Amino acid sequence: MYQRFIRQLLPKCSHNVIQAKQEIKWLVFYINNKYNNNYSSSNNNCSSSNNNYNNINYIDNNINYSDNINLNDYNNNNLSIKEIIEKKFSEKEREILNELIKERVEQSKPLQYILGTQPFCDLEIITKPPVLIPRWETEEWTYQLITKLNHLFSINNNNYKYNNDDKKYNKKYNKKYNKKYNKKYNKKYNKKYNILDICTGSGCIALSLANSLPPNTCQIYGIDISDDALSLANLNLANLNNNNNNNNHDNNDNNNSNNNKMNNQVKFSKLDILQSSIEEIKSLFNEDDGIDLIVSNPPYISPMEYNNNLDPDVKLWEDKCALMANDDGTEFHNRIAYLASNYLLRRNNNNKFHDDENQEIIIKKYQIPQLVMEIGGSHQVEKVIHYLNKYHFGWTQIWKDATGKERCIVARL
Amino acid sequence: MVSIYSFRPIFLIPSKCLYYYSAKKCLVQNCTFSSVTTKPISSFKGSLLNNKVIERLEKLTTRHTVLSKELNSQSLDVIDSDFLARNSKELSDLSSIVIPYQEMKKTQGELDEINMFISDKSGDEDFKKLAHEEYQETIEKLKSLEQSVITALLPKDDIDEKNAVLEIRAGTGGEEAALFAADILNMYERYALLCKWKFEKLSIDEDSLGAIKEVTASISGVGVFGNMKYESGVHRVQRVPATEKAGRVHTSTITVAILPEPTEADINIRELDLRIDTYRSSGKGGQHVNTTSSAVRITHIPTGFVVAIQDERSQPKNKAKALKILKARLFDMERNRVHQERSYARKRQVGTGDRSEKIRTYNFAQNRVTDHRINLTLHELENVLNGESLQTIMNGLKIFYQSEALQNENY
Ligand SMILES: C[S@@+](CC[C@H](N)C(=O)[O-])C[C@H]1O[C@@H](n2cnc3c(N)ncnc32)[C@H](O)[C@@H]1O
Repeated sequence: MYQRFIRQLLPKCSHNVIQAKQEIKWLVFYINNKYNNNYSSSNNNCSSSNNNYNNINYIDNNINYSDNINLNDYNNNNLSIKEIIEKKFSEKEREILNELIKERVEQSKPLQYILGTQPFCDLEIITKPPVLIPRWETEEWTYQLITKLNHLFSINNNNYKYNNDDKKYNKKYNKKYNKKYNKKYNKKYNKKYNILDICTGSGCIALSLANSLPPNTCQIYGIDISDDALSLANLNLANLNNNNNNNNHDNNDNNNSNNNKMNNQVKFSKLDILQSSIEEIKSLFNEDDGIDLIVSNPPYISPMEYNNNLDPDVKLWEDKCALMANDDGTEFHNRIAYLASNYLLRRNNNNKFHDDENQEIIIKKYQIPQLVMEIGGSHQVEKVIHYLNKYHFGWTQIWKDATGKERCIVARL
Repeated sequence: MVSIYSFRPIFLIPSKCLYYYSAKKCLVQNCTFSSVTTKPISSFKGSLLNNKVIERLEKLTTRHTVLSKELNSQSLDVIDSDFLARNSKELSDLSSIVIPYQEMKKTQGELDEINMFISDKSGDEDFKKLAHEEYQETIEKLKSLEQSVITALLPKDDIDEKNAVLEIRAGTGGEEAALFAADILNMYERYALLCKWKFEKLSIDEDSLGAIKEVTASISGVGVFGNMKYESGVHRVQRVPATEKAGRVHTSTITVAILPEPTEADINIRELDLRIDTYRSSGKGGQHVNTTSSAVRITHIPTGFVVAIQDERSQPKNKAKALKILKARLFDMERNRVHQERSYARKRQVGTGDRSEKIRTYNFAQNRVTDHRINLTLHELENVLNGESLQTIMNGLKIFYQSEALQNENY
């Protein structure tokens, strides 16, 4: 049966057996968690003692079932996926697995819509059709951006070393430290760093920045035209707030943090970035003094590409309006560059979000941009650079992704 | 006048010392050590502290007394922060040595008294029995105190505080070895849990029966490498495999490697030296496709090291894991090179040298685990394999290697 499932999935996995096995594994864990809560709950019991990082247990190949804690059984808890499907699963569970694989193969339903989540940076982002599923390329540059920004926030604060890897592990420690840190920080810099995520979709970029930057350093805004996207983004926000709440029992002594369970505040609003007037756009922010950083993964597939060669997984399931853009897919980049330069970004004379000479140095040293836009590949570089130059961006750079493709264009005025 | 001891929580207890005690405490809280039958590593007559070391300890004690007096004579109101900064560090370093040393001397005195009781020919027999019990307890206490003194006396190796990458590979013995690799993985995972460390599997190469050909995990927490470094080497299992019908005992082996995990500052890999392969890296990527293939393979071109990771659904995370392993391997290689270049490296440095050495045997029929380096045998296989008694072996190794180091220190 296992072999049959693998064969069925192969066409969806570029005929790569390892990948087909992986997809089955994730489906099996999904079914296990959803329909058989007693496994996962006892697993949680065991991990709650050592903080939050164990909630990623499910990705492990050998599931430690409820007997995880039972010392006598430690020899038997290595079950292969094949054995789970064929021995441990009930008839009903096998039937569900069969149905899900059918959906995946016959209807081209993306795995992430079936599983309902996609990991993104340190978060589990909820996914729902037709809102765009976060891509690994986006996750990759978001990580990179977070690393750069953390340099900016650690100015004058050598003690505060923010390490993403250890973040969950050190959460408790950080919490204590942050209180001290915040007091110091807020006294000195009263202005927050304003970030705007244009075309936010599921909210993945905005929420990851909010979660991974030091507490109370930023105010983050996300905008999107689609109601589906906005409600999903807000669902993700609520979900993260709840999760954080559950995990931190020592939250109570943080009286002032009622709506502040994420490290930084995020606000999502509905807006058509192409059509809206400047007044409408500006009215969304409390700040008069402008935005410090604009990030965007706007639609960038040209109508020709959209009609001719697009995976059915993408075309049949994801919102057309999340993918397709005019002018060879660069319509949004043009508009965003224009708005950013003329209206949105903090201007030169008060360029700094706080008064610190070091800030200039850090920005230069780590090449921290003011504008980050994802692109579809090398074919769009020339056009987008042209827009940026037209709107007086003095410094531009291209970020490549792990496969060596031009993935982002970043710029400063 | 304020007694110097009221300062203790602030600067007299060195972090290392605190860790030592807290680690011990956490283990005790989390599991009950079953009574252990071990051959004594060294009877107390053969205390590890020789005359030279004791001479040095006495000097340090004098210095400690002088410094404490000076610090004590400072009034709290007009405290000179420069003076404090200069001296409190030294005092705190000294205290970590002197306090257990004083305690040790006191305990030694108690031991002498007990000895007198025991050798008193006219004494009551019941009384003597009691004295014998007390004697054993006091010896244990002395040993543990001596260990604290030695730990504090030896130069601290920063590398001991690092996190570690654990690699387990099935060796000779086919599937039986792979099954044993799974047992050992479980042992370290449970042990990490008891130590309140974070244990994260990075990659796993598994047979269908839950037998592990190769597994890599990252362990992070306080003092991980310092504790785990003695685990590197060949572990041997002797048991009747489940599949063996004739009931013959098979011997198979696995290899364990513990690599210190380098920090950013320790190692710098040039982007250019890496080749990163992903499935389906042809095509446009980005919004055009929605791939679920998150597998990543990184090749370090100059050395030819290859690391492939596929376990996470997130490709950047797989990449980060692969890089972590790659960096640990490169760092380890570099350490070995430096180590070998040193002409004075007569002594095998633990955690770097020979990983093909057979260090431990797990014998199921005899219910025993023997560590061959220190000739220590525990007759409680089960408790070792579930991580609980592993600390006993590790302590033994620590004492052994530290006293070895102490003999080689030049005073
Ligand atoms: C490619 S998706 C990006 C989603 C998300 N930021 C991510 O990286 O996964 C583009 C998003 O832009 C939104 N969008 C399309 N046209 C828009 C417009 N005119 N104004 C604002 N948002 C728009 C879509 O609803 C969609 O959510």
